[in-house]
Amino acid sequence: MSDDYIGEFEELVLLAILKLAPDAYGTTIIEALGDAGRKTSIGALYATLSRLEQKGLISSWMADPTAERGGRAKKYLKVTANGDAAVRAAHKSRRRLAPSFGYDYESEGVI
Amino acid sequence: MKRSSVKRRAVRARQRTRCMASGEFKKVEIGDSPMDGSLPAIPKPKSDPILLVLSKVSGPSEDQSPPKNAELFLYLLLERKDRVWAIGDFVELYSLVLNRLGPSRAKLWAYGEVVRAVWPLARRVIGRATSLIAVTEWVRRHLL
Repeated sequence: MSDDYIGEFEELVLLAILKLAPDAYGTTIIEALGDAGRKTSIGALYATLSRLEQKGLISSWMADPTAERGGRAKKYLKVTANGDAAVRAAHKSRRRLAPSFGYDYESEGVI
Repeated sequence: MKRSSVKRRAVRARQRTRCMASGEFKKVEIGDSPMDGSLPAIPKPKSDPILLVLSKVSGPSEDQSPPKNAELFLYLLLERKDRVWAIGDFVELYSLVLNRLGPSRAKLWAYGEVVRAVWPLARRVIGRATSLIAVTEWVRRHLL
């Protein structure tokens, strides 16, 4: 289990990257978070992505520039093994605590 | 002067006028042209170097791209290593918002994004400066 503590928004971003893989980059992540009911700004996302990268929870690579982005490259993101462990740990803690306030993940269709 | 050559000149003049009116060709003053027969030098546009960099890359048409001011503010807020891809994401998101909401609301969205980006991005800089001050203070107290 990883010792990395992740915040709620960081966890959502990691989950979005895992869901979108291998097509996870800024725009698709913001869209995925919006679809999940969490509207976010570009600034908040970049600050979080940069923090996650510093913690070693995600890795990135640059793709070729594309015309629809004004000739600018995309930065693709991938969750590292540490990031995966951190998400699992956060999820596990949540599941352990969930019955204490009567929230059943499985019956709510979350899992 | 022969009659046919006068007629040819008149036809050419008419064609030139038509092209100029349609904007197909731009008028070049003869006085601007150097004497050696080479093409006249095109004056360089006087603009901010940052704006020039932003507009240099080929991309979506002018009405499809976000307002230049918003792009410039975001560019200045971002760290150097993040600028290229983050602005690219901003441009891509803007075109998506433009298609969904229309030009006026898309412009509002763009400026709103810049305003909302100020705090998270500034907080990083403040956090770094604060930790640097804290470390300096600790070194001063304990080691000096």
